[in-house]
Amino acid sequence: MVLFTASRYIQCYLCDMNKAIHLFVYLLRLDIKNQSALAGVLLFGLSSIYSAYLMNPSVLDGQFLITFWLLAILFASFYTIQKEDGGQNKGGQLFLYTMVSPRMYISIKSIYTGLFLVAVNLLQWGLLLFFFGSDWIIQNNAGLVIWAIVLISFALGITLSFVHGISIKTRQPGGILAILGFATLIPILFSAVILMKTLTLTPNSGEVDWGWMLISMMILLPFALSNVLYPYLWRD
Amino acid sequence: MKRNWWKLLAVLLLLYVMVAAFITPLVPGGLSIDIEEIHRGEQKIVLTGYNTHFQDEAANLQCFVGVGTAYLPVQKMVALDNQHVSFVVNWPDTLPSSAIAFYANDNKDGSVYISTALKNKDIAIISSHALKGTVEPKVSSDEHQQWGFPFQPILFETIRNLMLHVPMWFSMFFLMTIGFIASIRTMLGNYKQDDLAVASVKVGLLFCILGLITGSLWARFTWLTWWTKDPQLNGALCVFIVYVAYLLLRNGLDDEIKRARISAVFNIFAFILMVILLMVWPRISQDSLHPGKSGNPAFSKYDLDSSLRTVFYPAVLGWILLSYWIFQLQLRYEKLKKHDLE
Repeated sequence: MVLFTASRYIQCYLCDMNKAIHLFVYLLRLDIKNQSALAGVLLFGLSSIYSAYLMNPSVLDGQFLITFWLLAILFASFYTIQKEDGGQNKGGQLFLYTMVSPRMYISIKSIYTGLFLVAVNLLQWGLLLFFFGSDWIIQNNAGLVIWAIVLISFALGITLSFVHGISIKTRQPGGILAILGFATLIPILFSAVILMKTLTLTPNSGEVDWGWMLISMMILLPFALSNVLYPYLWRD
Repeated sequence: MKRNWWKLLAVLLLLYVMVAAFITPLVPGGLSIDIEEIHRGEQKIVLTGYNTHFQDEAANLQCFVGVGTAYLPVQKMVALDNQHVSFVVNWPDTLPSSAIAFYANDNKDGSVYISTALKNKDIAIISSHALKGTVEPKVSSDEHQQWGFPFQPILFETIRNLMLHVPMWFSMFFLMTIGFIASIRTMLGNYKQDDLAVASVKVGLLFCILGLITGSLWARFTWLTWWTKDPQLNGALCVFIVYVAYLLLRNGLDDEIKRARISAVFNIFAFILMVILLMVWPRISQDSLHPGKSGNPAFSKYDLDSSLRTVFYPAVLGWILLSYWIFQLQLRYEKLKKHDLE
């Protein structure tokens, strides 16, 4: 009996895992199919950094560059989340209803968006270092900076996925996403500013500590809340 | 009337708070001294007190200078008026410490003092030096005999703002909690609770604005700026923006049931965010100027004495009751508006 229950549990778990992988692949395929949107995000990253480079790099200081990079990733995040609207129309929703549970959908979408943003934001960071050099940052913190970018990207991805799920139900999804997104992303931006500034410009271990704490909180909490609340959004 | 006793209580409490908060004087304290540096030999110093009674208590007035743990006597002490006393200090060639405090004591005011950083012109500071000619002050009491709010440097008279600023946030939290509970119930299918949620958020936002205004005014007088990068301030502004977003979100939804359900989901998210922004973030951050945050001593620990408590606690209760009253009116308005639309 115990073996049977255990095997059933493992079977369900594997079945769910299978569905999750299918959904992940489905979201990836949607992005690959929608190449113009994908190219748009990448082009946005390149053009924003290159535009700043064209100004006059000699007068730009580290603080400006970090602020600029944060603005660039903020807009890239909004652009990224809006490109996925195709999968959220009535037909797409119906398809997703049959495919997975809302909880699984929001979890996988958050993880997928987080991973997508990790790639985009790391690319933007690489472009920033490529155009402006790396003399202005503390050299021995590279690993921590990459880890910070990963966490910031996940925090942005998870919160924006949830907020996007709300805004898509309204009359003006774009406008509402901007309003809700701006309001809910401020704490993430604050922690991102502290993390990036202290890791790259002025090392201050105490401040970095609470930057890590806040960004971790801004990943775990929206993830948990979106898991609890998203099923109530999905009913239509 | 039986059902509305709490409204009367709110009015009475707030009347008491307004009168008590603005007529209770500050207890005596040392405000300033008229020198910026000390030099060898005799030096005349004028100590300015606040709410002191130097002239009335001239017979019992004593002044002395604290250097480290020892006290130097003063000469030619004259009470110029109730707020000013002048005396002459004969500074030696060497002092054991640069920590210097100027004391004045009388029976009514207790001990008032100024402890300030002073430049040193020509006196050697040697920690092992044994100071000669010191005195052991004999004062009847260090405590003042007046009832009043604590005299806190930097805060001074603005300490009265405690009765306005802090209760605003208590009231906002109270209303947002009502909204949070109403939103949970809405989300679970009781859509009538949506009116409660929206009314509480609207009135909560009003108290949030009042909290921001009173806080900004207080910051102008104590930190010399209307706004600063304090996590508590920025957290409060974020909370304001999040709840404004909640109201804007409602405007973007036409269907009543859908609006109730989706905005309830966002309201729950906003409430949790508010707890993090106002209660967690300022505590774990390292650069907050607020009492009780970032390791700063809390109000209750050293500032909030019994005189403040007698006004502060009624203020909190009074403002919360008033906020609930306004919330009820707003709720009635929301229901009437909905009825009118139907």
